[in-house]
Amino acid sequence: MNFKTLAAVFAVLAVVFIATTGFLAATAGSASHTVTQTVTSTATTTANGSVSTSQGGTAIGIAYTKTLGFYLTNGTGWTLYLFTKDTPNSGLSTCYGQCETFWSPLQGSISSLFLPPGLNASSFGTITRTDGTKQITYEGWPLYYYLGDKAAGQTNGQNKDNTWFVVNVPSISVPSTTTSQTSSTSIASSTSTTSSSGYSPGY
Amino acid sequence: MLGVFAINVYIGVYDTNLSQFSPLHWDLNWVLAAVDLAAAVILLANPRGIIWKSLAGVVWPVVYVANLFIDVETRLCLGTPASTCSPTVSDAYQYLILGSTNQEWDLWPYTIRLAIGLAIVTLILVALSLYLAKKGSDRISM
Repeated sequence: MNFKTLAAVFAVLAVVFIATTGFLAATAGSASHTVTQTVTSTATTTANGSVSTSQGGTAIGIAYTKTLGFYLTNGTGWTLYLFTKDTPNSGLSTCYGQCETFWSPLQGSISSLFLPPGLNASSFGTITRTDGTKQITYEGWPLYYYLGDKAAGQTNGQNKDNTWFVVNVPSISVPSTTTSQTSSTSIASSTSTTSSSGYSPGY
Repeated sequence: MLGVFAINVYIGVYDTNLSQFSPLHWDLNWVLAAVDLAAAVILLANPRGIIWKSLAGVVWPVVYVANLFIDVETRLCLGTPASTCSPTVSDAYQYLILGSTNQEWDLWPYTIRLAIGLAIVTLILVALSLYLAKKGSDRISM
């Protein structure tokens, strides 16, 4: 391969690079628009960390799969996760900054938590994040959504970086199908903050 | 530049955050890898003229490193949905440049720092080579 050929290859690649960069700049707005719509629809169930209810509370649900067992979701089936770098019952979250963009905290008030049958209200609590918002905890573990879950029922964050896991809960019943979900039906009026009982992450 | 090319391939293959949450940046990463490879081939061919050597060994490393710091300055927002923007420039720096696992960087923490280092070493060596070549040709012409 002579130098002229190499120069031509480099020139073509440079043009492609410049064209791609221009394309990125030109499409940034439309790309944001498209994704914003997705995020907005997600935000109604995730960014607020709750499902809107007539009482304005935060709904919790339980889902089941053969491989993961019973695990926590919000009221519309979006999977909740715990972060093993957090220390349970410490009252603190370690996920801030870029981490928080990928793993958004489940926010809400413990006094208006809607729980399904089989979950104990005393297992739930809240911690205060550095921005002053309240994040809901289960057995002392702060709860999060995963940005990589694009629909209810997905568990794409399971075992991510060996630090993120779905939040397993004790068996409540044997489901009739492989995957099922129990929606929130009862209202818990707990005022506890964190639980002192031990907890094994779901892995 | 071959090392930088290898790093870009490593990022493209293993950075699940990039491919999942920022597909445009992921595509751009492959473009960077292609240009890295072209620059490496040009430098290995050791052309006589200084134009291509300068482009591949001086301009491109500068553009490459500048591109990373533009990403930091823009909080990783360019061409991506607002939901994946880093909250602050400092967070973006810790994530992208320092590879902080607390910020959810899921590759080898020194990946980007190594790429920057290799680009700078290339820049210095090529600049030195061009300088010495120019000095030599000046002596001959005298």
